[in-house]
Amino acid sequence: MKPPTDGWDRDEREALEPLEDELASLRVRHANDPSLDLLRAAHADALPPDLQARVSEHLTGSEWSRALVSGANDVEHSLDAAASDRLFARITKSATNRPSWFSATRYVSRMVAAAAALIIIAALWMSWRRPAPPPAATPTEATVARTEPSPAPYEMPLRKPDVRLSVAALTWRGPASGSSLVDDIAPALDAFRQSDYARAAAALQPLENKYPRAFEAPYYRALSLLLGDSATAAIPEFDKAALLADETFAADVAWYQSVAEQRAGKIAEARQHLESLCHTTNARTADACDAASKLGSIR
Amino acid sequence: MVAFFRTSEGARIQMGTFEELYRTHVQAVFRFAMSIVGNRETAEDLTSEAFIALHRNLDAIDQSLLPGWLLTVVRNRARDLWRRKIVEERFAEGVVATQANTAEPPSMERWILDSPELRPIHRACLMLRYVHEMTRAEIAARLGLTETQVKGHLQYGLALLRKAYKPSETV
Repeated sequence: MKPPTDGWDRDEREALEPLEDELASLRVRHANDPSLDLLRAAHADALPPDLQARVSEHLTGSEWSRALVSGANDVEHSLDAAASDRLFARITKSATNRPSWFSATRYVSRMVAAAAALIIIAALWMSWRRPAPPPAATPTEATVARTEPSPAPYEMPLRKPDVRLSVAALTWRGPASGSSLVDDIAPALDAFRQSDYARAAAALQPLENKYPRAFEAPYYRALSLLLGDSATAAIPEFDKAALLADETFAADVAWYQSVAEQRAGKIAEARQHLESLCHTTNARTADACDAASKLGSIR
Repeated sequence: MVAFFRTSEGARIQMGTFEELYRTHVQAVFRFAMSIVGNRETAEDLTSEAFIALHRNLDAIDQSLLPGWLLTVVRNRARDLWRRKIVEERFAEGVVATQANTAEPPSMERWILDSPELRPIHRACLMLRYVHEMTRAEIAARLGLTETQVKGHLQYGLALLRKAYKPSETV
C-alpha cells in the first residue's frame, strides 16, 4: 500500500496492513469523486449553476461525500479579537477609499435616472390623456411593460441527516428482563438509513407510546414523514421532538421543523423558527439566516 | 458611520453604527465563508467583501435581512471565485464524472459512515487520510485545523477501526 507523502506512522502501518484490500477498493470507488472544495461549495449552493447542478446531484446520491462535508462543517471556526479588528480596519479602509471619479459618476447617474423617470411619467400621462386607439394600430403597444416571469418559489434544502442517538438513549436502561430503547429502535433506524421512510415511520409510531420520554422516536418519525413527502404530518411530530430534545439536537429539530413548515405552506411559522436559529450560534445558523431572508423576500 | 434602515413602512430609522453591525455579524459571516471555502485567508476576503458591500448600501437595506443579506453576498462572491477558477484552470472538464457510485459499498465504508462512536470530524479525517490519501498537513489546511488536531482525530478513529477490524472479527 502506497503511503501518503508524509508517510504512515507505526500505528497506521499496524492498523492498515490487514485492511489493504478494503482500502484499495474504497480508493477506486471514490477516485472520481468531486474534491472536498467543490463539495462544500455545492453544499452551500455557491457554485456557478452548471457545476452546482452536477455536484449537487452527486451529493444527493453519495452518502460518503455528504459525510465529508458534514465533517468539514463539524469544525467551529471563529475570528479572534485581533483578527476581527484587523479585518475591520481593512474593510473601513477599502470602503472609504473610493476612486475620485466615484462621487461624480454617482451624481451623473442619479441625474440620468431622474431625467429618465420624468420622461416615463410624461409618456404615461400623455397616453392616459389620449383616447385608446384600436389595438392593431397602436404605436404604444411596443412600450407596454412585459410581465416578468415570477421567480421560481424558493424551497428550503432538505438533506437526510446521519442517524445519531442522544446520550439519554444510549444510557437508558429498562427493566432487567425487558428490551432497551436502543434495541427496539434499531429496526426503525435501519429502515430510515435505507431510505424506507414509510417502514421507518410505521415502526417508530408504537415506540412513541412505549418510550414517551425518548426524543428519538418522534424525531426520526418526523424526519421519515418529511423525507417521505408528508410534511404536514411531520409538523406535530417535530413539536413533540422539540419538547424532548437536548441542546445537541435542538438546532436540528428547529431546522427540519422549519423545512416541514415551509413545505406545508406555513411560511410564517417556518420563518419564526429560522429567525430564532439565525440569531443564535449553532451549526444551522448560516443556513437558517439564508433561508429566513429568502422566505422573507417571497412573503 | 451611522447606519439607517428602512422599516417595512419605509421610514428611515437610526439603528447603530457600521462597527456595531460588523461586531454583531462578523462571526456568523466568517463561519459561513469558512464552510464554503475552508481556507481562512479566502474566508476573510469573502467576509471583507460582504461588509464592504454593506458599508456601501447601509442606507438602503432592511435590517431584518441581516445577516442573511451578508451571507448572500458571500455566496455570490464565492460563485465568482469558482467561475474564475473554471476559466483559469479549465476546471469544469475535470468534474464531469460526478455521478455517485451506486454499487454496494465495501463494509469499511459502512463502518466509517455508521459507527456511532465517530463524530463527523473523525469520519472526515479518516476518509481524507486513508481513502483520499492526503497528508496530515493537507487535511489540516482543508479543514481549518492544526496538524496536532488532525493527528488526534486520526488516532481516535484508528483505534476504533482496529477494534472493529480485529483479525477474524471483520464487521
